[in-house]
Amino acid sequence: MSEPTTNRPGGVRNVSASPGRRRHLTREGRIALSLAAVIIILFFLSGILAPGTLTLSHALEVGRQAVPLGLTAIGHTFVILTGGIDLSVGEIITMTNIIGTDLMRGRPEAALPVMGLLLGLGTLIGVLNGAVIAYTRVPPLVMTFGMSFIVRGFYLIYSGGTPKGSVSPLLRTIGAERIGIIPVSLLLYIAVILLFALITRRTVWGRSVFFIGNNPQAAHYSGIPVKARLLFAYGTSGLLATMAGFVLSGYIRIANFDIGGEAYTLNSVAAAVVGGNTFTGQGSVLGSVLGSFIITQVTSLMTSLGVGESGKLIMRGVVIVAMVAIYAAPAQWSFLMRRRQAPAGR
Amino acid sequence: MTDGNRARLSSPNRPKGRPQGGSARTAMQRDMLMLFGVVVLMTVIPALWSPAFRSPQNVTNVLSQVAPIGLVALGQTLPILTRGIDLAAGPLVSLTTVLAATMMGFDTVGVLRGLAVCLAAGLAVGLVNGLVITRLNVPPLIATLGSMSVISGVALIILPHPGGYVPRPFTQALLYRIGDVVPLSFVYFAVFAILMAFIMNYTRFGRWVYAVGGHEEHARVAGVPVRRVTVGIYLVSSLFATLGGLALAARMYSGDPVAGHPFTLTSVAAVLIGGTTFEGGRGGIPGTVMGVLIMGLLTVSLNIFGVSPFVQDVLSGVIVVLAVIYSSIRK
Amino acid sequence: MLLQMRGISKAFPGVQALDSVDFELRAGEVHALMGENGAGKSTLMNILGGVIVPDAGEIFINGRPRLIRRPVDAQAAGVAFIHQELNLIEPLSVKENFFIGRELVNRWGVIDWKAAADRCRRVLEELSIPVHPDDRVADLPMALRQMVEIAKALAFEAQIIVMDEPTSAITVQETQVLFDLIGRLKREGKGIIYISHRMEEIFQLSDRVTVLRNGRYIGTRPTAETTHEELVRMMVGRSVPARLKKANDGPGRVLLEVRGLSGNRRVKDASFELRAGEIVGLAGLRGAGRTELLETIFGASLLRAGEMILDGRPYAPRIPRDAIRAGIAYVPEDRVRKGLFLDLDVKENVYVTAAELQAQAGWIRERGVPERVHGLVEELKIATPSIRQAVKNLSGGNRQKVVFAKFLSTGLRVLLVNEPTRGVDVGAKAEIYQVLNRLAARGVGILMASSELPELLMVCDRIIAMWEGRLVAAFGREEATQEAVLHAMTGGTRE
Repeated sequence: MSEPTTNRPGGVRNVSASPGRRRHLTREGRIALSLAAVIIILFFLSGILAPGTLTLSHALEVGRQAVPLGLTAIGHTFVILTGGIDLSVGEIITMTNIIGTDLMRGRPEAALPVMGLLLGLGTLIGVLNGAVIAYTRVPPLVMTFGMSFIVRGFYLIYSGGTPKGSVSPLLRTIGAERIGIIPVSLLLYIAVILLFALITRRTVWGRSVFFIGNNPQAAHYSGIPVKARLLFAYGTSGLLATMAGFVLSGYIRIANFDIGGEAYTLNSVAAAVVGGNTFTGQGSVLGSVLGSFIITQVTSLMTSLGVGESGKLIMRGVVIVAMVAIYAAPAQWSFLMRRRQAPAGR
Repeated sequence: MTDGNRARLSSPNRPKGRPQGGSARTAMQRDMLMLFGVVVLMTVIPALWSPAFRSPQNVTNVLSQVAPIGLVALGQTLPILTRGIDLAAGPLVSLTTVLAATMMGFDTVGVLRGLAVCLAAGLAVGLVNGLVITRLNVPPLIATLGSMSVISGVALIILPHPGGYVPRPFTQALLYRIGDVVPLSFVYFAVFAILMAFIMNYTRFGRWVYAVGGHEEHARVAGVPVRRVTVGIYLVSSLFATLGGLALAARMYSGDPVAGHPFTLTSVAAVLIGGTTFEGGRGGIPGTVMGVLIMGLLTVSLNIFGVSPFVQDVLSGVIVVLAVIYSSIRK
Repeated sequence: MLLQMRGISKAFPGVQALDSVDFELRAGEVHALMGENGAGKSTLMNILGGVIVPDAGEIFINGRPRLIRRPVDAQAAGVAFIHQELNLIEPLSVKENFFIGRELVNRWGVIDWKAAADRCRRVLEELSIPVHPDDRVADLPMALRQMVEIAKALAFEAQIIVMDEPTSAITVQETQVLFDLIGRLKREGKGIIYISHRMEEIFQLSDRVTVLRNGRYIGTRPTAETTHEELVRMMVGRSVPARLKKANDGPGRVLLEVRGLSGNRRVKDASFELRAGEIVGLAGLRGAGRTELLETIFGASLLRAGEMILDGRPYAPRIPRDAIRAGIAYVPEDRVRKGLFLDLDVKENVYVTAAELQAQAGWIRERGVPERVHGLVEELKIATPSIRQAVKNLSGGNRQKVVFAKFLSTGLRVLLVNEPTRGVDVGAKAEIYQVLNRLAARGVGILMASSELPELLMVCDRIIAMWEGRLVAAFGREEATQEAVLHAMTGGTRE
């Protein structure tokens, strides 16, 4: 019953002749607007619940806090859109911090070479994930989970189990300083958002993740080199997790084993699915950006209300399930997903 | 039936070299035999090498280590058989240790009360997971990711730091060693493994799990109540996570709000190594038992041979991936 | 009267699938149900099987009214539906499949596997089906799976057996075994509803024929008193042109030369030429290797031996991308799995391939894309309210046109099409033939596999017959007759 086969001449409506006449919002557009509304509501809500937070500088601070999660989530989005998952991102963040601080030891001249090295390493780890997933039948969940152990073991062996070192001034600038009132990391973040939004919309690498996620076999038959694109998707995830590691390291300045880990991994999945990304090739970078902002906003609001880690975890779980349930609900029930019921030619 | 008859009916284009309609049972037995061979090798080789490995203490150690993760993996087998996953299993193990360590008090009555609370919590988690998946159409990965987060939070509220106390009657009921070697917790695991193998093969529910895993739509048309079975699957999974949590609590003599978290993915790895695949409908409990033993023996061997915990991390990651690559090639 | 369906109506969004249809079946009768795709046969039978709930109408079984709302109700009423896509669960054994949803349990709820195996074996033996209860369904050939499904129905006292195109996936020999089985069931007083497009079978097998058209009941005829022509007229409502008029004069230069091609398992030593502007038909039974041959040429299936020359240059694709780059496109048979992104919109589906191949350093050229897609949508008459419509909302014919459209802007030289009109209604069928003709007129070489011989005879310049992985005969336009091609593709030798 998957294909309705009835199609009567006479009952058929042909496509309208002028391309731009009937513009209605795409699924991603509707989700982005709804999420933006949620963000505004949360902003005012936090102003009421926690007085003193209704200021531009607070908003910017929340924005700054959202940067590392957002970077991770953008990378993770590429993987999720292909139908996969990357459980190694949290450990890549920690690895970046541990190895980065040790190699830099606060020296200014070490910043660029070390950052280059780590970006290469993070991307390589991602590409390795992608390669095993593309060329064998190991599920992404298992591969990237195994990789998280490998990465953790690697930086533990490297450091001998004791964190040492600190970041270079450049990284400190990126992670903690501001230009005027605007955090440097936020500027970097905006540049990354624009770049990767452009990549998903206008390059074959970015576009293909949607096709692969929706139907990998059809993607193969449509001329997409699926394996190479999986390497790209997981590589991007590793790359952006490394960048998130830079921003976080720049902020806390020293080596810390608790900097990334499972919490970041799961938060980035949460941000992506709250942003409307599915494992079947529907979603957008913008969705993940808004999703990570909402998660940070809720976390920050709960902090200012004195709610502990446990309450935040509970909230995260509820938000994930609620949002996905709303996205999955039949069209007529869901206000977020409502669209004109357009009878196709059947 | 005659061979001639069969030859006439079969399509001439069948791939050569594959047995005509190879018996499902013999294929499975072959796989089991091979996994069992691996288990034997992983026992015999280190035992020949190291006296420490063949000491009774170490046997006890292996068996008591296998019990909690084994129980969780028994449950995890069902979601994976139906192309799902239960990410809430690990946090539920943590939550159970926490509940046990705070609810049991000091006497036998307290133990029973604690057990009741733990089981109720497990059933509630399973029910919610199942209903979110079947009624709200949320994919299992996301549904259980959500409950995983919620359960972790609840565990932290009840017991923010490792601690609490599980009374002696309870630990005795799990840790008492038969013949000074075999801990009761392992006996429970073995009994539950046999029980589950029986349920999966000899009850309607078990067969329906396989049917839903093999082809959900076809199962529905054949009259299988797919939604109820799915809820049942996540109930069973949560129930076994709870049992695993109880075994862990006894081993630790206390509760820990995060100690069970790694169980999620370790149990998934054990199930996959045991030959159950995410493609659904293939595999089962015997494989999972082998998978659990392989993982347990591996950890203990690495410890015995003094491999640093850091290197162990790397090795276990590599080995899990290689094992899954291998078992997916075999199919 | 075993079964009576009266005044059955069913509407789907935008279409009246069934409009007050009547149908009846006697005990010991094979009653054929005919009609074009979309005529409402499947809907009617799905209603009988409890898969679809009708808007109106009554069903009587043995003269008593029965309410059938779910598959279980149909089973209880003695109706068994042998779907074209069999309803078996592949990883499980025959025995296990037999009893899904109605396990034999003892009073403690424990399954009695011994009783199950006995009953299963007894039924299989009674019907002389050479299958062991422990055989895994995934390992059985299609024909045996079908028999297992029939045996399963009989094990539970089915009185009415619906068979939906049971011979589309099996060989001629297997078909004969199936017909013997049907004959036995008939003598035992079962009623059989037989859906098929193959006239020979209808005349060989059935006692009466009922024809539906556009969701309406057209008539019922005793098979002995009707003719091929009358049935076609009833189904189509007009006479069908015997042969399509070709737009171009004759084929041009050799475009694709295939020499000694061997591929994965089913393709053995295939050699042929395809000329520009030519439509070559590939005839063969299911399992003859047509799909594999096309997919080997397309790079989707492993090329074992042999060589191909495309426009004078050696051509050896590793993945479909190489083929598309070289100007070879493939419209697959299984379009939902291999051709379409159901959740994505028409524009994405149409533009995916061109975007991939025409990108410069990875950058997709977006300018003019909506216009180009609109142009294709109009050229192919794809009925969709907008190019932003998700493809899953389109009908079978329109989905197929979307797959065609995907390759029309990629420098197409050779088009491989596999069952292009399967699951496509009459109107869209004609349009697809026109598209093929237009492409041929533009100089594209087309290799078309189809299991509907009349279609090949109508559209193609030449027909190559394939049997057991080999190209066994070729027919020019004049020599190609239904009988000759059928003879060759079923293993008959020809000189």
